[in-house]
Amino acid sequence: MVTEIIASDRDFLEEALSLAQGAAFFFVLHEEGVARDLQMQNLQQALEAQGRPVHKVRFDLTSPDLLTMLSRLPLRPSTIVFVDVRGVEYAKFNPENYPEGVELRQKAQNARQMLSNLNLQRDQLTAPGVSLVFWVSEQALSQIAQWAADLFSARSGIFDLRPFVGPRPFISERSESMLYGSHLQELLRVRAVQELPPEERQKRKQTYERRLREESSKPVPHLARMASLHHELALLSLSLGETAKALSHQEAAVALYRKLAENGDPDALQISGKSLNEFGLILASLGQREAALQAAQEAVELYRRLAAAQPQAFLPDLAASLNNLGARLSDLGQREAALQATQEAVELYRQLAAAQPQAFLPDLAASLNNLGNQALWPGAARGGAAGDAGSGGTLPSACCCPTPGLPARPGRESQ
Amino acid sequence: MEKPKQAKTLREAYEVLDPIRPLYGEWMEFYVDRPEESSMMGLQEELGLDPSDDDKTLLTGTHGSGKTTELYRLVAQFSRDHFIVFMDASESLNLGDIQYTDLLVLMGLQVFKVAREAGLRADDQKASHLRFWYEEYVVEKGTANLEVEVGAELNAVIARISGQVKSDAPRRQSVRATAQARLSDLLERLNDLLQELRRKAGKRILVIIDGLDKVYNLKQVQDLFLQGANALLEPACRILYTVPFALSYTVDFQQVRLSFTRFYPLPNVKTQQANGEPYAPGREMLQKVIYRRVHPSLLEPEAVNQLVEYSAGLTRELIALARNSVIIARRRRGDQGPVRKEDVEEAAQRVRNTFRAMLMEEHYRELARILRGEPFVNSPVAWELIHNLSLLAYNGEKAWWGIHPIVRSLVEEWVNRYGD
Repeated sequence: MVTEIIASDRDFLEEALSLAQGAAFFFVLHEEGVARDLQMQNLQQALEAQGRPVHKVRFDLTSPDLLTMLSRLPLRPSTIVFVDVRGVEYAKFNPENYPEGVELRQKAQNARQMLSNLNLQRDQLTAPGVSLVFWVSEQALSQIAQWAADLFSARSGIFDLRPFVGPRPFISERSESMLYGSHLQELLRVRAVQELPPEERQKRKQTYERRLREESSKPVPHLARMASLHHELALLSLSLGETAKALSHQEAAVALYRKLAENGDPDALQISGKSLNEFGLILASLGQREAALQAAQEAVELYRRLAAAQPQAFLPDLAASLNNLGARLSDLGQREAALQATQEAVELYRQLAAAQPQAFLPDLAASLNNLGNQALWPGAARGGAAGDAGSGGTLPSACCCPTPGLPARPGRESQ
Repeated sequence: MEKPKQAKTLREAYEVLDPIRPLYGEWMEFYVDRPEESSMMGLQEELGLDPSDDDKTLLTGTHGSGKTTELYRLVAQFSRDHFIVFMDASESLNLGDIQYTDLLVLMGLQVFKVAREAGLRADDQKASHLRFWYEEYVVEKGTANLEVEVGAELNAVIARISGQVKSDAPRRQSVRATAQARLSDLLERLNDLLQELRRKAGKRILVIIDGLDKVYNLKQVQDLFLQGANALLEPACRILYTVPFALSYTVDFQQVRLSFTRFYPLPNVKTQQANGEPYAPGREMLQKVIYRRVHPSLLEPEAVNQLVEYSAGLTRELIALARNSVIIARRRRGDQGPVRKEDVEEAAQRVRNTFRAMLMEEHYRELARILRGEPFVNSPVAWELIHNLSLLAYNGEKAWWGIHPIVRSLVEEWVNRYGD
């Protein structure tokens, strides 16, 4: 039975390649090794016997630019290029999970970059009008489908030439590049603004203030656009040391999102909660503790209402907001209130982790750690993120996690 | 290839069933109108009715759903009363390393080119004002002259500048850093030119930026839109940006979506309704896609029905599957075929094996939930399933998500083996 399948796929591939006269992408499943080399050699001979020139290139971490390699080959429309793909399996590892200097981190980064570039070269790879046959392992195919999805979706066929298909290992690592904390991103956004020359910040501020005036004077102003401009102006004002102005812009942004929610946009309320949490974290980073507490309190109130209506959707956000609130109260030395808020977050995470342990156990652990720290070292003893950076100063390089010892996962603390 | 025509042999069928090629030019002959609810008509009407000079649109859609073909049609429709600036970001920018500043720098150059083509001289005040910015901060001294004659020469200069920014990483970083620190100046000069062009020519300007949907790294494209939303909204012209479909499922994207004028997900063509009943308009359209390219005598009707069934409504999937079925039929019955249902089944089995290699345990768990009729839950696993096409979104009275018909039996097999 297995032999029949092999023969069938092998013949089928040969037939497809003999028909292909223009640009086409084919994938051949075959693990790396001598057997793959022999299969390639065998097929190459068969195709060359039909008058089809075949070239072979190695596409791996040391030679990741397929387009350049192709440009060096004497290609004509009947040419078939075998692309021997190796090493892209590393793309399944998230580089951020491994410290700098670890070889796996570098390989994972390179493999992801190599496949992303391949994806972007899709149209250019079709330009020479030749058939490209990618020889890949099963794991490599899976990574190509993920990181070079556009090229993969334009395939003309996949052929399984593996001599034996064994049981496939289950892999649980998520493509975490899709998951990342919005508060971290917000901090990066603030940092990007701060890196601009002061005159550019001032000029952008003037541009957006003018745009805001124009928008608000329209008969039907675009409220979300105005909210977005207020948010940008808050960041710019903050970077220029105008904290009061920044707060006023942020409040305006939140008010507009609330108005949008009242007007029936279901996402707007959630965005305003997220916006409050993010801004609270930034204020905390800048040492604006009272203002940070106010933002955290408002976020908790908002998510309480949302969670009451749709617990499944918003309990995680409420728990994360309570965590933030605990941290902000702790910053101000309000130990009892901080413990109460964090305790409530712990209880919520317990419930959530009971239902979905994989998703919420890390958050529960982080919250318990916060609770322990708040009980042991109240108020001023907490170091790190809520340091005395001073208003309008530069952002500290550390992320504003509630505890210096065990950071809550990005996206769970603030959302 | 010569002018494409309906295939009369299976060898010809193989050639015209090309899954890579979007339809434009002579290939537009193969175009089939999509059912109304899956078409771009809503967007076309909205863009046509909107009197605004500077509205901003986000367009998305599943891989292979026909987005680029629809964009070409949009260009054809609007080029009568708009200046069209069509930029394929994947050609003119390095999408592996892109920031909103890069996009605006390249957009400015393209607008400059269109303004020159529309009759504005290089020494016209507004045009030269923008040109000075590029000569001061982007163009390496002595490497490119933007004052050249309109036509091939100017195209070559612009291609050279964008080529440098695209492929030369240190150059890109340096241009980016310089432009970022002077972006408000660029935007001001760009807007002056756009307004001048609008005033003199009496036409609105529509910039279409295709290709951003090809950026798989959602973090990168999310950064681009979240950090740059206000700057990307700033140019005083109409702009349509494409975005990756999976991005539209993330919470952060909602903030971006709201601040743009409109967000248009191109709906997938349905082959069935949410309750599993066949959906005739979608099936008929997909049948026409095949018959427009291949003579009916080369395919048995059951084979076409099966192709449509397995396509999940995606034209690129339909064409790729048909192409593979053609190979099998040709081996079995020669160049006149016909393609039979069993050939399609065999071709589908190969696609199924691909999915078998791609899907992981967590994917099966999520698909098993959908198979049981449980509601779609937005999660990173769901984004991956949507991205690898094993789960597809459709519109109805309300949105629903269906398992790719070729994948369905794999999920059933998994459930039988491992239970729920």
